[in-house]
Amino acid sequence: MQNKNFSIGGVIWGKLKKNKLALIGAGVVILLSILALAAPFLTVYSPGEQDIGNRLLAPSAQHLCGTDELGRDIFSRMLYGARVSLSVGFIAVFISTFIGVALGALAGYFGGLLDNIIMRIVDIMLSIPNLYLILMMITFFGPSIFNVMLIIGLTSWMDLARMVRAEFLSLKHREYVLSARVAGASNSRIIFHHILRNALSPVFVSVIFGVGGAILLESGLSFLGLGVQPPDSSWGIILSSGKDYIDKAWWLTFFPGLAIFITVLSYNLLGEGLRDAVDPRLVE
Amino acid sequence: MNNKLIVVKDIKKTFKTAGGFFGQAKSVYAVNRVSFEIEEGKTLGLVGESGCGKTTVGKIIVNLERPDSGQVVFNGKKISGLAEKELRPLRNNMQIIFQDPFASLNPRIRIGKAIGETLKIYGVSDIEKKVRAMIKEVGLPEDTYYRYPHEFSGGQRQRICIARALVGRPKFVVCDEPISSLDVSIQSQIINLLKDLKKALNLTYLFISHDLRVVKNICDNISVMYFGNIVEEGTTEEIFAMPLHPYTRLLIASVPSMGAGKKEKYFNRPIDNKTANAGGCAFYTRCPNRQDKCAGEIPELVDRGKGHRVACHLNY
Repeated sequence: MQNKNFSIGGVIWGKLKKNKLALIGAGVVILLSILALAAPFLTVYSPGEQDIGNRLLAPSAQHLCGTDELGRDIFSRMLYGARVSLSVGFIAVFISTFIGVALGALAGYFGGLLDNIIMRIVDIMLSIPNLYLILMMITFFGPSIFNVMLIIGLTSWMDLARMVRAEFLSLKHREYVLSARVAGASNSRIIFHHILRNALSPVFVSVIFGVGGAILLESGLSFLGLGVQPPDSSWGIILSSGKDYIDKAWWLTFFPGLAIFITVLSYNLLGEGLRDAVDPRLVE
Repeated sequence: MNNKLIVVKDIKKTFKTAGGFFGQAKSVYAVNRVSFEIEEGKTLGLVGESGCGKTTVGKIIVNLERPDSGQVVFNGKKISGLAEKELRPLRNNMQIIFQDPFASLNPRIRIGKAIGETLKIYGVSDIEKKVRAMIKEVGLPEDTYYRYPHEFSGGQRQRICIARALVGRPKFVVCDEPISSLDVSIQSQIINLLKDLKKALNLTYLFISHDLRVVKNICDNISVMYFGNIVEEGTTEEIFAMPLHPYTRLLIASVPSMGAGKKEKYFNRPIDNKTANAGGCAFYTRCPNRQDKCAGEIPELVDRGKGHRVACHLNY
């Protein structure tokens, strides 16, 4: 009967803080979010401001990351672009998590025909190459920030649904769930109060990995011209427009590329640390 | 005072194994025509080896499983086959205590909340007061209320489960092997607690167990189950004084303090599950006294006097 202040969060944090790489990842993730939120206060130039006289300037004290072919400040564009990239990441993952958890829970809890239908949809979705599916949907709906969020969300919920279903399948036969049923608990009470609470840690981990993945996907789509459209800037767009000048002005592609790399790496480090931290088998 | 609180009539339950894509689904009889009655205020012991369908019977009574046929009548009202909505008002009259106290408490929910859940569902007032009183009643310290399940030992957890089952003042409780996963030193404490609470709260128990010593201690009547069938039933004294079915004798002989030395002749036969369902006595393959008749004819439960009923072709 020790350990009075026990809480799941406390246990996870206790394990997570011993993982240096995950802590660095968490630090970068938080820092990036603050930078994106504070963009107007941290930039001198507005992201769309053109200055043809100062085009393609190398990084200097005036322009930390140089300027592009229209004389726009890359640093400003990147900070504002971070807002787009991060929000696409978060909202896309929010959508996919919502769908994945809802369908996985329904399939796992009720089973039978419903389970069969949902899982066959998952199989079908997984059998179509993801990029192909996304490109098809974007051609159909047209490229825009909103569509990119929606489409990434709609095409990346399947693994989570499978995982949540498996959790529900094993948890619904636990005796505490049975005794809640005998106590007269309704299905929704059992699903939310008893099962979902115990299935949340893997969902949380998958959210963190998902954000990194969605940012990468958004950058790729924007690079291909199928994601966020100019004059909005995202890291993928800056990278894309810089590729024409890659021999003359390396900074146009280097900095956005670095930003994407560091962001996705941080999310993955944090996700991996969390995965180990929530795994009850890895107790030291 | 002879109010029959629980009447179980001819319940049958088959489980289908998933056959796979090409394989054939197989049916397994878990419960095959089981009937019994429990009078209000009494304890019926349901004994038998693991896998004989005892737990399934318990689950059917509290409506966690639906029987394929047959019915369960609670306090004069048929409850099997009711929709969950019609059942809900009746649910708080029946409770179940499970075998494994480590699996039966939600690890993320504080004890006070867990015990009070059924009260909350039924919109009872003064939940916290009642839960605290119940915690005291099962002999747990007061600060139990705000703790999490993992902070407790098996015996304490089982006390919590008992508190959770009884806080809503049910009339009837299924105790599904409530002590078989506990340390021997704890078992008698829990048994005594169950006995005391039964007296204090005027409860009726269905006590499922494979431990005959415990059953002898706590039960008024006993039904012996073998392979989904009830093979013998009667008062506790009758069953122990004069066990009639060879399976009951085997069970009693296997308890060291009850029948030491007599067991060899029973144990040397292999268990052959395949023939257990085939048109004869289910115990045929293991029976030391079997006769030709036993292979081809299913024995019915026959009264041998004083309500002592046996399903066996042999006359002792």
